Amino acid sequence: MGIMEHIEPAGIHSGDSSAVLPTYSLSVDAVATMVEYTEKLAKALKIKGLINVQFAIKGDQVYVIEANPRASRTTPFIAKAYKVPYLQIATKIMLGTHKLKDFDIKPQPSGYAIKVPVFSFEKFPNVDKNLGPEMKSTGESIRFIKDLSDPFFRELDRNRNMYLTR
Amino acid sequence: MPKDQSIRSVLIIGSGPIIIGQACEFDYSGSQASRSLREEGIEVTLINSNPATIMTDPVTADHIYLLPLTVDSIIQILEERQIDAVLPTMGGQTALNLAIEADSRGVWQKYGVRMIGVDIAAIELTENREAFRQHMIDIGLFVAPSRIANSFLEGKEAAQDIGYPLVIRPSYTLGGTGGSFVHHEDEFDAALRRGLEMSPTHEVLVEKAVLGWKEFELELLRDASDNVVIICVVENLDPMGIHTGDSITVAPAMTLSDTAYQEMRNQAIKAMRSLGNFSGGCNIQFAQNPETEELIVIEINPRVSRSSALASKATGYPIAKIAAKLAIGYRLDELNNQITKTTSAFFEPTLDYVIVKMPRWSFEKFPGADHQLGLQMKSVGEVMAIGRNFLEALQKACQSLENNRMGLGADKKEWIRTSDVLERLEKVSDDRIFRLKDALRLGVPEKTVQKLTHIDPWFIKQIKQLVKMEQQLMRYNVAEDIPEDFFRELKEVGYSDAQIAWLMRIKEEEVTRQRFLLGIKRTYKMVDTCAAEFEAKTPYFYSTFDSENESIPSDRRKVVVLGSGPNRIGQGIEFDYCCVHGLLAAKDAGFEAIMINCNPETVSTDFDVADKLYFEPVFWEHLEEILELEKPEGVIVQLGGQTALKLASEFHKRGIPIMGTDYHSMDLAEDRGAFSTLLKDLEIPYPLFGVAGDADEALRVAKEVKYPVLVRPSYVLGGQYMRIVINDEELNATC
Repeated sequence: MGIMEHIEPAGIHSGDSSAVLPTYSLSVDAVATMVEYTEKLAKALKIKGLINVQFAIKGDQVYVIEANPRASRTTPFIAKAYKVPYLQIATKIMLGTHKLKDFDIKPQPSGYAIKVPVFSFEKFPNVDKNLGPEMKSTGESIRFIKDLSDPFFRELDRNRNMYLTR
Repeated sequence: MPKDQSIRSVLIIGSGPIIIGQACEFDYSGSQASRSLREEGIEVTLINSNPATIMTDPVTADHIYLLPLTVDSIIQILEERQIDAVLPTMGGQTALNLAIEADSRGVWQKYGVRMIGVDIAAIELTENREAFRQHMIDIGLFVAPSRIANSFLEGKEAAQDIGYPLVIRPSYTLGGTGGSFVHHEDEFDAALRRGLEMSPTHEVLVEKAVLGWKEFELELLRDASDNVVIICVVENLDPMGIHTGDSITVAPAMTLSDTAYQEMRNQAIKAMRSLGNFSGGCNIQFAQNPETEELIVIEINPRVSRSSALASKATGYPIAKIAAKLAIGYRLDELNNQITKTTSAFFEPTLDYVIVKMPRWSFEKFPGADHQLGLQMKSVGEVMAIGRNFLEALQKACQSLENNRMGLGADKKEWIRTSDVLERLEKVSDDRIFRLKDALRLGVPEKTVQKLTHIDPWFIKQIKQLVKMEQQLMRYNVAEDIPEDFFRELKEVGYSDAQIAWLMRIKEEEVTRQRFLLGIKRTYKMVDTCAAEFEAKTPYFYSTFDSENESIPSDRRKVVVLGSGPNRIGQGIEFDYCCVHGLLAAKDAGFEAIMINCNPETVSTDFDVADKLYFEPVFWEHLEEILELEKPEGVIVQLGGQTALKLASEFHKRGIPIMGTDYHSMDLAEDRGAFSTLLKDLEIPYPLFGVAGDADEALRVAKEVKYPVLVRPSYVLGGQYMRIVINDEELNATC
């Protein structure tokens, strides 16, 4: 369906990371490796329906962190950004009435789509606002940009930090 | 007046990203409004920056703009499209505020766009606290004594006038942000400063606190000809002092006398008719003095709200859908009741059941957060349960929460020290209802409980009844000993088999087996808006223990989609989006699509999205009997987040087919140890890891993989309890 690259490094929960669809800084090789691993995994797990795989990349090495055999938080995001009804397709595959080849899937990307987490910390004045492996955001918004020179993206990219505080 | 023909295209403003106080209920109202307008041949354009919403999906609207909710975005849309009117009442406070801002910059006027549903004057009147207060007094209604303050000094003066306890309410904020109670003078300065800071207009209202008064909410609809219907009266079990979003609420009102109800009705209608140009859904909150039945108006929201989503699900009356039609000129008497399809929309729904709404908090995600509840909403989601009586609905709500509770207590999680319990009753926290029962169980008199909580004695008496039944139940040793009538009574007040088993210290299976042997099984009743007075056509059901079953399974191919329960951090609106698409796809593929969920804020629990809706806890005991009745070809567990996925093992154990990826593969992916072995076999690199069952093992693993390490429990959601640790001590503390 799509590959999203997190702006923040691994260690911050995926739900609290800003993420970019498609990837913006990875090598062609890294992307190809992720696709290959995902296919291998999906086949080994005999997935019929959805799977979400999380990777960490260090240098040239691609590591698998985890896999979820279900719709994930980002599935609707990708469906919206690419204008493809992925969930309907997946459901019909689960039901066994259709096969993947029955669908003509044509993603229509327009530049990059950025997922930005939104927090509700003002409701909890004394709480620790550092981010980590536990998710703390309550919602998200989407922002489309034409290219990576977009000031909004550059701001996000510049401010990325292991322990960012809101 | 019939439909206004000059409106051919409408812009609906969404509510943006989910934050506490403004969640997916506005996706529900926006989607309903959009569908309702499109039915009338109107072209609908939507703006919302939240990608996880159904309202921004091509299935809902004609043109979708996933843009930041700013005036510039509005201008961009108006430049691109011919828009006749804007409907700002469906996207919560965010949408109203944006509409006001655009208006003050002259945007609507410049592009010739009319505002429908509400006008700026009506918004201003309800939002500007001082104007609102004066207006209420002018039309002869009562409000709490208060004064407006725009500066620190003015605030201090107001406090002197009014006296303590008092409330500080910042103007134009959402979900009570920045507001607080002040009981003593020494807390006042800090609270006032915070309130002024939070208000975008640097304005607060200093108001006398009516702590302990009863709180009621009325959901109404008004049309352009001043017809008004009251859809629902919701009673807050938690009295004034706790934000409605954090209160347990009940409908219909349980402790309201008929005269007080009539008075409230009259006042509500009067207030609404005085609002100027307004046609659509509206919510009015009252506080009632429990001794004298004296009423004061707390606030009016001239838009659909979280409570109108709840009221829609509670009554079956689609408030947002009808509100959208009223906004384009229809009168209530010109529209049909969407459930019966034969009666008019100009009627007030009658309930022959009770609903209980319970908030869901995620305090575990915010270490250090103050659990005390007050003016500011802190919950992140909610559940609704329907039962034949208050206790059944209350216990079903507890079962829906997914907090590992089996009902209202009787599940190994009770507190046993009276002093702890009493302290918690006074300092209101997220577990108060459970502590209330603990107190009664420990022999604390009802009067004392009432004094500490100000909860109406009727509710306390009801819960006391549970305590008495439990005492009787504990006299039996084995499931076969429970007399049939008493067994039935237990189930009728909502006890799960797990609770009964815990009280008797026997196995749940033994209780279930005996119950089925006695033929004590759930039957299903229809939510029909009219207490069965007319024939209803909409398949919307809840379970109870009654002789007659109204849910007749069809002989079509069917599939059940499991929902994701209450919204919480890590599992929210995204899964509602997934379920809606799953239902649509299943219908499209020729299946009867059956939805099971208990979250009233969602689109997937709208009665006309699925072919059949069971508004029930996503709790095994409830699912089992629905599946037995419906006998679907299979269950879809991939769309309802971890909630649904977690239940896969139960289905597998009982041979109920899971659609798509089979149980073994799912389990393999979830089990961290087995999954890593799989990765190894496939020659896919993964971070070094080890599986540990206790702290000692964890220390050994950490030595092998070297610090820093990530500690991650198996089978959890949203990184719950995951920690990054850098040395042995931290690791020990985490295990």
